[in-house]
Amino acid sequence: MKRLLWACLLTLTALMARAETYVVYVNGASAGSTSSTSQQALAFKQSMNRNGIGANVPFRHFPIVQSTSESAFAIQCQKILSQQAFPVRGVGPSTSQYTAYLQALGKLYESPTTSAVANCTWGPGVGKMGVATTALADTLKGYLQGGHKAVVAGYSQGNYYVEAAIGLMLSRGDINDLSRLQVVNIASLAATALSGRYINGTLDQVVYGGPGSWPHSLPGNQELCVGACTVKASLSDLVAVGANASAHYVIETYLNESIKVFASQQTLPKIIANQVSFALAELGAGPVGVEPSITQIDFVDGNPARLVVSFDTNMKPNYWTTGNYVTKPGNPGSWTDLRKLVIEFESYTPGGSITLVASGFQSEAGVPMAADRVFTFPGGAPNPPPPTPTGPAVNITAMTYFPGTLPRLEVDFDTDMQPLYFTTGDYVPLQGREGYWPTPRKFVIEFQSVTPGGKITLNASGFRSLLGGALLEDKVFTFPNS
Amino acid sequence: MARINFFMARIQRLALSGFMVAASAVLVAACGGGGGGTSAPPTAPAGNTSTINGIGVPPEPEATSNAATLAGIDTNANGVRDDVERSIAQNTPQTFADAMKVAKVVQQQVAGTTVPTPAEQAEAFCLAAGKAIQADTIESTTLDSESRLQAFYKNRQDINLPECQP
Repeated sequence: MKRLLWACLLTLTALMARAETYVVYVNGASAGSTSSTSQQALAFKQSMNRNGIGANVPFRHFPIVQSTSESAFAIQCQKILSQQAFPVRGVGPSTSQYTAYLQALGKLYESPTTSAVANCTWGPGVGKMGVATTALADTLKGYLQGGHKAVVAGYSQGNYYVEAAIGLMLSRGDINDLSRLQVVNIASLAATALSGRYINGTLDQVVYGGPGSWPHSLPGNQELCVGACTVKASLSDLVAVGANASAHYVIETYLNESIKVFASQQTLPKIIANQVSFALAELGAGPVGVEPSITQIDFVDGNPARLVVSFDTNMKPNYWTTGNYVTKPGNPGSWTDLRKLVIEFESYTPGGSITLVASGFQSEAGVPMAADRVFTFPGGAPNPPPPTPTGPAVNITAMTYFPGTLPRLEVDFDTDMQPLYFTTGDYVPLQGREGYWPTPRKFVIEFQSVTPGGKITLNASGFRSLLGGALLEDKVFTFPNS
Repeated sequence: MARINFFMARIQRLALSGFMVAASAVLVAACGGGGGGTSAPPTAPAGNTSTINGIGVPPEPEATSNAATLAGIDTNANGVRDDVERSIAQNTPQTFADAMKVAKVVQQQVAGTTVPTPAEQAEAFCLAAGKAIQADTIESTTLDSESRLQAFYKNRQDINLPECQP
């Protein structure tokens, strides 16, 4: 019984000690919005989950309990401070200006009711803003002290609190930089993009609408579109797909799946999820989404032959493949969109294979495929025939066979080679080690089994030097009899 | 003092609900009405209401007393400050019970005497994320001073957001 209790205690301790990276939603003004702050927070989490942030990522909500008007009064000095620091909208401050602003801001909130800012009179809500700012700073500090990290996502006026809390943490000495905190600003009224990531729709009428707008907030950086997205949207276009008239509310506009960003043609919530995902990656949070899967592989046996690989989610436009083929010069692989990779071949080995290496295919959130995927080329004559050698002939300088439980053959060349191969023979290759190049001049193939006295043929057309040269003839090695 | 307030409030609520009036009338009738031996039923101070949108609520608390402590005045001891309870009855009578659950958790966070469990807080969050509760109004009414806001932040459990059922 004691052992069981002790084991439980150890497990609990381990669980408590587990370092997490939280995504913390900081809402905008509360009363006056059409959705409650809790509704906003839940919608934000659900939207991020739908757009690639895995359910394993813990979301939290830091509630700002102030009405629009209360906050508007309260942030007056912060607004003036930012106006003094960054007098021209869209002109980024230098690092020293940025630091000076945040330190001044932090000092402001160390004692909000007594600190003085030139030409500023505190509004009646400042006391509450000071309480909320300090509480947010303390909450974030608590995360860091517990070994955790956080991505703080502010919305609208919530960004003022985030900016102020980070400033306060810097001035108090809680942090020296943002290495363990990242910030994503959404519809931000603040003057600073603390981690360089923010999403402000240019049609946001609260931020950019008119005389009442916020001239010293971050500039608009997202032109929006709807439907086929061939032209930039007007305000009425946005309203027609469910945005509120100010194109500012978080659920109706910024988390609206029908609104896309014109430049990338991705939905606005997807863009936000990407920003959150990048921020999580910046903090080393590891994979934060579901593993991407291949939904379809189509092989087109034309000239050139093509392999079309489709994925179930948007991918990073990279790839890593190995196998029995020569890719077409100049166009070895291209992403026609973020879900479809096309590889064109100059030649391939009939019956040979191409392996799509799992770690070389990652979702936009940075999550790799669960496992390698192997595609076997159809049999028959090579199509098209191997290209004519264009460089000096290639010579094999040594072929060394290493017997044992898992035998292998090492082949040395006299020049640097392309990482290709084409072998046939009386053997079963060891899966995952069927042919690889540890150096540009050494080819290795490992076997699960070989036929004693049988042969392995290195086909001349399947080995090419970097200069375009080929073997003059096939090279055959005979396995020992015992 | 709180117990007296609670007792008085019950009398006022009974009076205002009409029960005492009816009972007095029956008593008067039974006694034949002679001698003027009954006194007039107690009435609530002007401005107090016992029923808002059909919901029995405590009287509006005196402002200074209500603001004197973090907990404020809760005459019926149901865990929700009287002014907040009245506000809920006024604003969201259709979802009164759910709104009261949310208000109770917020009030616990302010008073700090009983800290809500993470499960209670998760339930309150999901209710607040519903559409008809007007949770923001509950919070802004309950957290109506710097000290109450400060207490709220201090005592709240910082939980991972739950999966709320639609």
